[in-house]
Parts: sequence; structure tokens; C-alpha cells
Amino acid sequence: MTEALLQARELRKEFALHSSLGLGGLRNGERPAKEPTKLAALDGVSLDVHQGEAVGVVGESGCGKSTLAKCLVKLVEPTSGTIRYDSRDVAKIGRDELKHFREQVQIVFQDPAASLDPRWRVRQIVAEPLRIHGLVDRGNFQGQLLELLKIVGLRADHLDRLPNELSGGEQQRVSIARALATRPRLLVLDEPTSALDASTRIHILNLLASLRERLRITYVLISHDLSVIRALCDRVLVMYLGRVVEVGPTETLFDLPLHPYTEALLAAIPVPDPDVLKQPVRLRGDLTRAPAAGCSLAPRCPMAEQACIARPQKLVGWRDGRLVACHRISEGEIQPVPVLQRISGSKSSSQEAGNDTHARILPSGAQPIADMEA
Amino acid sequence: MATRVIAPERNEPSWGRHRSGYVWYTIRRSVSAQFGLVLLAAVLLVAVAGPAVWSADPAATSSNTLASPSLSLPFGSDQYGRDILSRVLNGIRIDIAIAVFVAVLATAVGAVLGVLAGYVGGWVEQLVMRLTDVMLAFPGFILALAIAAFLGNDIRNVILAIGIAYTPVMIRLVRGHALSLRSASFILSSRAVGAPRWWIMLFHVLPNTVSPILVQTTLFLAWAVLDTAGLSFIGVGIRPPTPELGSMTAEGAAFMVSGAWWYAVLPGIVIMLIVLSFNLVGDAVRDILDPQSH
Amino acid sequence: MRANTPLLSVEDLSVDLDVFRGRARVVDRVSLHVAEGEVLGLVGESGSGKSMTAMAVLRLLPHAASVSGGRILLDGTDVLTLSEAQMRRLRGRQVAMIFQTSLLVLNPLLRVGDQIARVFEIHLGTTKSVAHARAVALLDRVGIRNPERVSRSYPHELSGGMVQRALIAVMMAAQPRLLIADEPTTGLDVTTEVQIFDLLSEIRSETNVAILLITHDLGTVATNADRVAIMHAGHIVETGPTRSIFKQPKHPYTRALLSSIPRFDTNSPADSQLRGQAPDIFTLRADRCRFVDRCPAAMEICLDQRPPWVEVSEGHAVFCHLFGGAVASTGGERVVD
Repeated sequence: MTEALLQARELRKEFALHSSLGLGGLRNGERPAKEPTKLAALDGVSLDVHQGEAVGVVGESGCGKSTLAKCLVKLVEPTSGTIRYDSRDVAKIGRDELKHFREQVQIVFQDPAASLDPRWRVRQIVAEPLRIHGLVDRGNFQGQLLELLKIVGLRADHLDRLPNELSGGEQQRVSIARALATRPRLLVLDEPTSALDASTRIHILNLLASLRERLRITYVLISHDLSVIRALCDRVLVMYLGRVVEVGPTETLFDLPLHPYTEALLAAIPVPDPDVLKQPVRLRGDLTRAPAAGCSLAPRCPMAEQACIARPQKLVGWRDGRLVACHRISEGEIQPVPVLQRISGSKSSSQEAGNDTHARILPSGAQPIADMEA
Repeated sequence: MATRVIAPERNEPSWGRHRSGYVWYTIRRSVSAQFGLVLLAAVLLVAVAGPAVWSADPAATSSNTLASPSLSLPFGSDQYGRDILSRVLNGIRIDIAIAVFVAVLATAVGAVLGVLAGYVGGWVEQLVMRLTDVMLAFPGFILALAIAAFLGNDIRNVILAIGIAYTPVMIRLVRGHALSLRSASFILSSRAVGAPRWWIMLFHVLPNTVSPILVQTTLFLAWAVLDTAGLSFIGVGIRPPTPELGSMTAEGAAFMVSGAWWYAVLPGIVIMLIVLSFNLVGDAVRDILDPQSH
Repeated sequence: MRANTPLLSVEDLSVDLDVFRGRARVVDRVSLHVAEGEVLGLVGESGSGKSMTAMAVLRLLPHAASVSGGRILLDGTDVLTLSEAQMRRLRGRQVAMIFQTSLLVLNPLLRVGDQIARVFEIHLGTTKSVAHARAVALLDRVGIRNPERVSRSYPHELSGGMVQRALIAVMMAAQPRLLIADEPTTGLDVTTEVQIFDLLSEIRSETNVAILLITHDLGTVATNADRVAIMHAGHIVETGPTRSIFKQPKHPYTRALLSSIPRFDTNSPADSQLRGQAPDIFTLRADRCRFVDRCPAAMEICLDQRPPWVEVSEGHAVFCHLFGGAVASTGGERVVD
């Protein structure tokens, strides 16, 4: 088993909150404590990315995925934990090695318009990494730039435009071209299509898919949109409130989600097909930070019980190399069920396997907690 | 087989490309901008060509003292028999020159320090901002007065005094913008690409603060004319016999009682027109750079 | 056809926009209707004119926009003929509107409870204490825990989902008959979105309020709307019952849109049939199909004649020459590139 290209272990990122307003504490309208609280945007996140893989990280607001993205490319320093790239600890590298790191690991951000300097032209934007790293081919600079544009589907007449003369899709292509300029081995994509129109989204996804094949780059794709993850990724990490709650291959995760949060996520995503039936798995209440001990989802989980608040949340193995951070699932107390089903015609793979039950069966005597005051 | 009618991805004509068109559009819509431009053009024309056209020697004294305005002396004469009009024409040059130097000085120093404070942060920011805070605690004019009194009365010192007094205003303005830019996506993107800090400050932060800087610079121009006049008025700025509009107004004030109104009033009106033109054009610049109807 | 008239009937509405770049018809002779208790999903990409249409109903168009034709009938009365005073009585009372949470709709300086109570005081004339009690009850009704505390909180102390729920509470306080929801869940997490729609669904069954749901997300309307209207560049191009639209889309734009959505529930890859971009409405000529430049089935006639409205099945109509009599009579030529 080859060593992972990028390896993150137990990443923690804390932010100190100075005011009593805002994200800290509880958001049900309760007044937070007077002392400044610490918010753990990342709470012990570990991740392995192997060469050639496309790993997806999915989660909603407050899950820490953007912070994770920034930590992986060293735009933000984690409070604790390690990140190893090519077997080297990135926290301990010197200036030259940092430059090398920046050539090899690149990032594309969410908002295409905001990612480009509004006063720079496309040619300067794409050339910037080349200039900084001394990769300019003096004899054929123009050709070099045109090659990069061609890779992402842009034309020569885009070179002299300003960002506000480009459509959203074109802007994102420019960001991608710039990220590819130094021929990176790893590309982190932070919500690359979220700010784009539906019709543009599919073009960019296709571009990313073809780039992966042609250039053999490794991807870490961050998104809240599962359809984007499904289109591009081999493996998925599901995050909730700074913790990883499930890891597994994309296909099996969709067919049979393990963690209750994953189920709720799948149940919530709108599907443009009135024939698709979804299990009405719902989270209760609003985003609430759980007390440090116990499961982060406990206050909202439809399957939570007393033990969930008491026992620490740990990511453990399940079958087939999948990981889940729910003791009720991993210890077999509750069976995972497929969330998506079709009304007529095609069956999902787990239905084929004979598991027809739609209702969840709880072990006798166990009662979900009626209302949990966090 | 029918093929598709495919449109190329539309190029949205940008306000960048049509900037000149937008400038005229804004000006056409604003009477004050038009007036300001005309006035400024007139002021500059007079400053450049005035003394050549009206070639009377501003320093020449004569026995025709305190003469009221007439055809040969459109602005009358002062207590030394000097032609006030020719003094005013030269004075315009001096005041505008001072204003320009002040604006350039305060802008250059203020912008650089502001970007450093805002983007680099840390002890640099602390040092610069504490200094700025202290200076801003005083009204600008008082500060200029103190510095000018300390340095002495000549044109160079007046420029320095007022320029230094204005610099903290620019520092604070630019620092605010630089601070907010620090977390902008395109700045993060440049960091991720490996750009060193000085590169980012010079090529990304500074160019993106040009608009607010420019607006403040036009304000500096207007303020400087007034402050120069003010300093000279109370005797700390330009000393006579150098013709400066403010000192002329000061000198003329003494003679108001005896009825020689033209001595103080006419230079005063000229000051007002210069400041007004700078203000109106400054407003227009701000409207162009910060379009709300766009 | 219809036993009773629809609650909202927009007929031939046109809205023009006048800005630096010129004048454009952002809504071009659009017609739609919403029956009592029904949910109509108005779907379109950004710039399609869907929000303008909604704002026109409440006469809340921005300064640069103006209605240049058509009628908007609310329960038979043409809203466009009412005075501003009459409109004020109507807004919030008969017709309520909720927006995307990111738009600061709640007054940040007032406590949430006070803002809800005000609706009761102003529109229903209740006393302060009764109004406050009802506000708390309403917050509880919309699924907010600790309604007392939330009532005493300021908007910035609440999460996006809670703000939206509080907004719904405010809007429902006066028991309107029509709710216009303009991208109510855009920007919210999907798990919150589904809670919001659950709530709206409950409210519907209790008060029979009709909803005009405006969104760019086809998935949302598939689950939540009874009928769908698809909008493109100021035109409504297709309208019909939800199932009919999704299962038998007729208009080339609808079809391209549906096929270009990456699906996460199946493994079939999405097909990028949708080419090009929305047309620049400032340079469009009047009276032609606005989809023609991107349409895989464009014909000569599409370039210079306004498409007809053709009913293809019960309640399902298309705005397209492909289905109109023109195709049959002239044997329309396909445009060759």
C-alpha cells in the first residue's frame, strides 16, 4: 500500500471568539457565556489522499470543510495536528520547500468573480504563478499562456479581458488555468461550482473530469452538493461540525448511507424527479453546538439516545473499508437503510439484495431521546 | 442533418471597456459636475496663461495706493500701489502648486504606510496606527499650524506642514481598505500561488485601493488651498511680499474698515472659486468611481 | 374550464428596465395563474425575470423598472390600478412575501418578537400584550425551540434557518391568502431547506394559503410544487402540472435544463445539452423566440415571429413554434449553421 500523497492527522483549528454575538455558543437565541469561547472549526479531522484519487468532502455550514481546504494548502495554520505531503511534514518546511509545495499543491475557490483580481487581465492572472516560480518560457511566453487557456477551453481572445468581461463559467476556467500553471500534483477545489448557474455547472464539471484524466491530477473536492461529489469523486468524507462522520466509496455511500447525518443529507437534497421516494429522515431543530463530550449530532439526531451524549464520538471501521462515527451503527444496534428509492421500475442496489424494509427497526426497549437540550 | 444554431458565449461589454462612455454619461447627468469641470478648466487656464496675458509686475510698487477697481486696475491696488490683479494671478499659481505638492506628498506617504499597516499587520500596524491616532486627535489645521510654526515660513515648509497633517487621514483610509482586502479570495489565491507579501501589496492591494485614494486626493487638493490660505492669513504660512491669496486676504482685511473692500474680497472670492472647482470635480470623480446607478 | 377564478392571475405582463446600458424588456408578456391553496413553482436561471415578475405583483419594483403592459388580477381586482395606500393595506395582509435570508428583511435593530407582534397590532388591531403572546405562540408553531428566548433576540443572533422561520412567522401572522416566496431557501443548507418546506407544507394544510415559489432549483419544485412554470429571458416557455413537466418536457429549454442537472440519485452522467448563455436582453429584437440562439431545434420562423402558446395536454402548455400550427402549415425549415 503506497503512502498517501497527502496525509492529514487529527487536525484541529480553533478560533477565539471575543464578542458575545455571532457563531459561538448556542444559536437558539440563548445568550452565550460571558467569557470568550473557542470555536473548533476542525475537531480532529484525519484524511488520506492517494495519488490519482478524487476525494470528496461533503458537509453543510459550520462543518469546517472550507477551513480544511485552507489548511491543506497552508493558507491557514491548524492549531494542532499534522499534515504530510509526499511524506514531509508541511509545518516544518523551509522557504524553498514551501515554494516547491506551492507549485505542487493548488486551490480553486468558490466565488469565481472574487477569485480574480478585478484589475488584472486574464493574461496577467494566468501568468502570475509562472512569474513567481520562474517558469516563464521567454522564447514562447505567449504560447505558454495560450496552451494553458486551451486546456481549460478558453480562447486567445480571452487573454486581454478583465474579469468582469467574463461570464461566471469563464471566470472559473481562468481560476482553474491559473491553478494548473505550475503543473500541480494535487488540486484542492473549494465548492468550484456552487456559484455557477445550472447550465454552466455541468460544463465545469465535465472540464474537471476530463482534466483529471488527461493530466492525472489528484483532487480534493469540497462541496455541499452531493451531485457534484458523485460526478467526480471516488471516495467521500462526510463532515459535521468539525468532525468526520463517515468515509466510504462514493457509490456505496449513496446506495446505503451509514451515518444518520448522511441519511438526513441524502433525504434532504432535492431531486428533479417526482418518482424518487425518499425516506423522510429529518434532523431536529437548528444547528447547535453539542457539548464537547459525546456525538456532535446528538442534539439533532433522530436516533439519538442517552449513550450518545456520554460516549465520545469515534470514527471506526465498518464493512468493506468504510468508516462511520456512530456507535449505534458500528455496533449493530441500528441497521442502515437506503434512503433513496424509485417508485416504479428500477430498484436501488440494496433493494436488489433483498432488503425491502422501508421502516427502520430499533432494538426493543431503545427510545430515541424526545428532546435534547444541548 | 440539421445542425444547431449555436451562439458563442456572450461577451458582456464591461464598464471597464466602456469607461470613457461611462465618464461622459455621469458628467452629462450632473449639472454640478459640468459646472465644476468648466470652473476648474477656467482656473487652470488662468493659472497657466494669466500672468502672460496680464503682464503687469506683481511686485512693482507705485504711488497709486489703494485705488479702487478700474479698467487699468481691474482688481484695484494695495497699500503699496501694487496691482492686485497681477498679484492674484501669480497667487493662483502658487496656491495650486502648493495644493498639488501637498496632495501628492500626503497621498504617496499615506498610501504606502496604510497598505503596510493594513496588510502586514503586527507591530508595523501597531506602530503606524498609534502614531496616526495621535496625529488625528488634533484638527488638521491646528496640526499644520504647529508644524509650520516649528519649521518656519516658506513655501517648502508650508507644503511639508500641511502634507504631514493630511497623511494620517490617508493612512487610516487606506489601512481600512487593505485590511478588508486581506481576506479577499483573489488575495488568498495569490498567496496560494506563492506570491510574496511585497508582491501582493504592490500589485494587488494598492491597485485595488486606487479609487478611494483618488477620491481622498481630490479632497486634499481642495482642503490644501483653504489651509494654505488659512495659515498665511494668520501669518504662519507664506509671508509677504510673495503673493499668496490667503495672505492677501489677511492684509486686505485691515483695510476693509476704510472702505477698500476689493483688497480682501477679491482674492477671497478667487480662493472660494478654486476650492469650489476642486470640490465639484472631486464629487464627480467619486460618482464615476462609485456608481450607484450602475 | 375552471369552476372558480384563480386567486392570482397575471395576464400579459411586461416589465421594462431602464439603466445605463439601455432599455430592456425583462418580462415580456408573461401570463401565469395560481389557484387558491396551490403551489406554483416559477423556475428560471438568474436573469430570467422571475423575481421581477414577483415584485410586480406586489408593486415593489426597483426604481429603474416599470410595468409597461398587462394586468395582475388578485381575486379579480387589477392590482396595477390600485393606489399606493390600497397596496399598503394589501401587502402583508392578503399577499405576503419572503425573500432569501441573506437579504436583510428583518429589522436588525428590533427584537424578533416585536417585529411579529407589530404585524398583529397593525393589521389586526390587537393589543400589545396579546400581540406578544401570539408572536411567541407563532414562533413555537414554526418549530423554533425556546420561542420565548428567540422572541427576545435580535435577528443577528439567530441562524439562517431560524431567521427564515421567523420570517415565515411574521408573514403568516396576518394570514395572507397568497405567499410569494422568492428563493426562500437559497443559501440555506439542504437539511434546513427541507425543514422550511415541511413547515410551509404544514401551514398550507392549515390555512390553505397559495404559494408562488420562485427558484432556480428544479429539484425543489419537483418535491414541493403542484404546478411548474419555466421561465427563460423574460418569457414563460412552458407550464403544467409538475409530474407532466418532469416526465414529458416539451420545450427545448426545459428538456435541456432537465438533462443538464447532475443527478446524485443515479449514476447516469448529465448531458450538457444547454449551450451558450442567456441572451443579452438589451440587444434583443422584439417579437421573436428568445431561446433561438441556443435551441437545438431552431427554425427560420423562430427568428422573427413570437411563438404561440400551445396546449399539449391537460393543463400543460408550451410557448414554442415546434408545437404551433406554423410548423404544420409552412413545413418549417430547420436552420442550418
